[in-house]
Amino acid sequence: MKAFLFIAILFSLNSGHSQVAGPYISIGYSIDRFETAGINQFHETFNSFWQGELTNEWQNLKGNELSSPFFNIGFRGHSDEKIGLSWATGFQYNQGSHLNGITWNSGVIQQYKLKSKDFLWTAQAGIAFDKWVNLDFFIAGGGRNISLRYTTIYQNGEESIGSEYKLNGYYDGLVALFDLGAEISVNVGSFSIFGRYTVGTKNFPPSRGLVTIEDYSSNNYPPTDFPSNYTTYATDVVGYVENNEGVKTDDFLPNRLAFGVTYIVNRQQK
Amino acid sequence: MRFLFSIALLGLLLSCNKEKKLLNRLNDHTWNIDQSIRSVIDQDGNETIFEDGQNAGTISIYDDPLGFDGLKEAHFIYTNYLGQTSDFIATFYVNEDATRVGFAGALCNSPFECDLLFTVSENKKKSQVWTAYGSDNTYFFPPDTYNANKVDHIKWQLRLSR
Repeated sequence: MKAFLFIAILFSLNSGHSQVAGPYISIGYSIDRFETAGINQFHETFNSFWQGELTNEWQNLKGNELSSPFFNIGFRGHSDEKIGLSWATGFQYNQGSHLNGITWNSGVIQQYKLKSKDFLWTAQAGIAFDKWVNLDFFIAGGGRNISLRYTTIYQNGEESIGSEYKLNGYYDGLVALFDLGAEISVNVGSFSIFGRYTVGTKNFPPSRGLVTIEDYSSNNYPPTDFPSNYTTYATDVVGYVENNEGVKTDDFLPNRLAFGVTYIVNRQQK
Repeated sequence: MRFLFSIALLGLLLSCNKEKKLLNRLNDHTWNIDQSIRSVIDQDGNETIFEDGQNAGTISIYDDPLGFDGLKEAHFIYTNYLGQTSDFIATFYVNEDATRVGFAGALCNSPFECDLLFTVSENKKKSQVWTAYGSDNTYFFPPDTYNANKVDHIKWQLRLSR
């Protein structure tokens, strides 16, 4: 609410001054970094559990695997004077994915495709210096859908998401995003080139496991979430559930370093 | 540029629901099981077919007769190469990314491990290919659901048309 108030105050300060404004479209690339401890514990416990049975083991994630291109559309304006205000509000969509897998000694492959889809409302406001450079405070709120599709690929190349192996399935979860950061942009006519850094706020809302929701069937007898501790998942179901040892969606809250270009469509001088 | 802007806006408004699309495609139709193939996949990826049945039955999919919104029911009739017939009615469902279909509680009366699940190998308007795989010599519920380090796997493929 404070953020809305802040933006409203900035808009009111800017009224009456010369500015350029209009709808915009941005494209860019976001280098994301998320928390890998949960998913990497799965890799390590699985590799250890099946030691000697695997030709290729799980590779740990570094945290930047869901880095992705994005686009943003909305309305933007900045002062055309020596020092003034800049502002923008829009809607952003990011989509990232990563494939990871193992090979059993038999030649059977098991793999997962981790995918993120972010839907964000973005708002920024700050100072425009001499109409060339904007320095903005940036906030974004929305949701991140995380899905993990675990499949088995047989020696003939056919892929199965069936119930013959318990981990096979389509897992998904949703986590709320509230990112805070700053953006610097350089304006050249209707274009501006920007760089931005944002930090995802943790534990908002509290963590939840990745569970099979749409895909749930009676074959996915509990536990139904994607495990972080594979050892207890495979040997001590009760302990696993009691200790809530699934991968948490909150792990996938990203800190982002983003770069891109914005084009103001139908730029109006006011 | 205005055109691109409009396309981007349109893209945002139109969301694609694969699950619903597949359910709508399958619903209100009786699908003929044109071919039922059972085979063994060995370590080299070779397949040895031990059943190849033609016109092996039908699968009818329709709205839940009790009127539960969005719920589907299926009538599955299948005759194997030995002449044994499976005939059951079950709740039918599709997963979120439309890659697997399930018949709830089709295989037994227990609340666990009784759904009949197929991977959707091919998804076309008038033809479908559904495949179930198994570990060793058990199709759906092998005693070891964790270790995929098996020499042989078995496969049951249904080729459907309407």
